[in-house]
Amino acid sequence: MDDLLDLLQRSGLQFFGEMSAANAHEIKNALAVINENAGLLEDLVDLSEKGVSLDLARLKRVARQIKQQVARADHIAKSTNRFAHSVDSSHRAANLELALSLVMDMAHRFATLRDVHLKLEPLAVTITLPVRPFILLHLLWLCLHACIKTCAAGHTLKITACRVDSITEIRYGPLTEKNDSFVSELRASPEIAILLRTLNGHLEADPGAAALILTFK
Amino acid sequence: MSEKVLLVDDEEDFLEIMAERMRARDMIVETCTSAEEAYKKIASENFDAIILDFMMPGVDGMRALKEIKAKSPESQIILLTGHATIEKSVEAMKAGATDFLEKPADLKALEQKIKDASARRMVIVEKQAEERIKDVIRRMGG
Repeated sequence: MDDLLDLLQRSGLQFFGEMSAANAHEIKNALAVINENAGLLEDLVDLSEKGVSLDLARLKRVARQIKQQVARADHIAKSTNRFAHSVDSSHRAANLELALSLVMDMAHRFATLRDVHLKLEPLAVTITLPVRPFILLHLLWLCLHACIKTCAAGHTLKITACRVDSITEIRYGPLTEKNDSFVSELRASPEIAILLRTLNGHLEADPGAAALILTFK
Repeated sequence: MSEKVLLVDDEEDFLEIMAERMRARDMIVETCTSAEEAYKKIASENFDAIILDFMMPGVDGMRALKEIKAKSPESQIILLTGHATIEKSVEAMKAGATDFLEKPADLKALEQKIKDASARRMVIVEKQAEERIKDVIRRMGG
């Protein structure tokens, strides 16, 4: 318990900060496009006042762009909100698909910067884990982050999840390289070790499929 | 004379609209969505200013800044970032950036920075030309 508390204070806060900063950055990017579109509208009005006729099709395109960027920023704000609420003390269970979807959203920019495409396969059934959402998100993020780092540019990393008997399995793959040491390096990370112990989880490799497998009993 | 600007940003929506507004202000604007594309353009064309996004897939803005300055030290590069910190700003200026701005950027302010950058570049290029002439005269024994 002391290990977990210590981890949450160090690495958990850092995780929270990194995600918040990344989301803020993405919202700024959307605002930058909205700002330029607003500026363009001002430019078009100035031109109209000088006698240049307004191109209505152009105005419609500007309006459409603004709406798209507002939708983009709204999506990011919603993800940020869900992430922020993952630390609520009243939450004692986590919907796995929602958690995976949230982690994918948060990893989107990081993956894009490495030209790695992420794909979450929809779950066949609803899987709920009796764990604190924030702790689960932290572990899912660390695994996804590590997998993305091993992928070559242009690669598509798929995430799938299923439940067989009482075991929940999350699979990240295919990885670009079949790296046997990758899983043992991950398991050796003190943060991942504490999170796995806390969540009763286990990490292993599927060498044939070049995949990382995270299981919960 | 119109300033010639290269805009480098992986966000195509941002790039397109920024370029349109700058062209409406009589600037000649070329665009690239990656540092690698930018290197090719800079190798074959001269620009009064290069507006470079800080965070891009592949080669990021800071690395691109250093690589462009290494090949063309007279380049005037303005970095654009979603989050400007003092540390980033100092690192950028030490690496040779002309300026460092936070998005969303005010176009009037950016326009002025581009004019200033263009004037600075002209001084550098003229000085380089002067040095070359002096060198030729020296070699001819003058």
